[in-house]
Amino acid sequence: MRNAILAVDPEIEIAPYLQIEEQIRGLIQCGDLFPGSLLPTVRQLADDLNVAPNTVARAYADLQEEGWLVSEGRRGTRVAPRLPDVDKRARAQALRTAVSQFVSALVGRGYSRTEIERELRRTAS
Amino acid sequence: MDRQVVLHWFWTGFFAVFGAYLLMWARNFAGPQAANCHIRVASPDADTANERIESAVTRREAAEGRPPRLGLWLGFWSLLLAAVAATGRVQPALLYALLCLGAAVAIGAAFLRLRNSQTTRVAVVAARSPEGVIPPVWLYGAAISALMLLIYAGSEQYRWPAAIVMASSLLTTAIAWRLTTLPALLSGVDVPAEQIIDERLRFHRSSLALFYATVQPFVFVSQTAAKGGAAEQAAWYFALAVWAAFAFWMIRRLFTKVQLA
Repeated sequence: MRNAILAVDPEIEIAPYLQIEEQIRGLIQCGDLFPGSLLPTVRQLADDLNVAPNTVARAYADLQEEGWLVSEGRRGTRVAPRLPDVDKRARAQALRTAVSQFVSALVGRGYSRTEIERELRRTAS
Repeated sequence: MDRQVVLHWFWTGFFAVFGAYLLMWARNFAGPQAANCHIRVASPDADTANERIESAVTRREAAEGRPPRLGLWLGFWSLLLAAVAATGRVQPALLYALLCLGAAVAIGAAFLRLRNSQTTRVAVVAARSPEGVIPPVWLYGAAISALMLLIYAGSEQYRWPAAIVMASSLLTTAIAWRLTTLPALLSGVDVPAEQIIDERLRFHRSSLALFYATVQPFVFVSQTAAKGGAAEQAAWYFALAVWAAFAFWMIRRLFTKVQLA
């Protein structure tokens, strides 16, 4: 299994808790985090990412509400054994939103749309 | 020669040699390079693996910034104690206790500096447990070893030195425990290699602090055990057992080969 890695970029406009949520969801969807995997504690992840514990707690809470994670009290937080059904339209919408936010952030950092498109094609191929 | 004179010169020499050693060879508290020299990679392509480890160490050094200069300050402190010991006006047990206190304060300062050196924002989504770094049995052993110095509560001569050594040993044990929970410091360039360095450094630093914590009561009791009663003898055997067993466990684990993915 590959290392499941999270990164928070303070320069982009997306709130850190949304970045964490989006990435954990993505790691589960592509199989880097298995159902039942134990996640780091809120404190550990917050310290590692250098964000406030509330940021991680909010991301975990949202993902629990959506059914991606389950809390086992003092034993920690795990990836849900049965993942929520995500229909194709919602999945496509989620991808569109994520790419759109990503491109906007890059444009904001001075990259042209042609540069971004070329790099995205090269990475995806 | 009188036993007191021998002890006087032994401690003067010890403080001087220990101080000089720290100033010359151990200025920094367990920097990334110190941990790296114990890493043995178990990999078919060891050369490439070693290069990756070296690069990860370099990145780690850059991320941590200037290393905590624990040894430098403790070295000066030890040399100062040597000068005081040479005068023969202060009992060696008290000077030894002050050295222990200095070490505890320096390790505490190093911990705070490391705790606040977090700069990157990359994390591996895997739970870490402090028990995986140092099993709690060693911390309990170190704490009991320190608390056994309470046997000196009724001793006019050793009451205060024993209290200082006990406090510094307990403080160092607590810091060792906190060092096991230090945040990971990953840049994300080569996560498997960086994780090895991170785990090794966490173990190296916390076990080194606990080593200091276990050695303090042992050395203190050693000064009195020969002429002491049954309680001093029992405390000496217990402190020796904890220190030696922990040192053996620590060294064995330090030289365990690591697998680089």
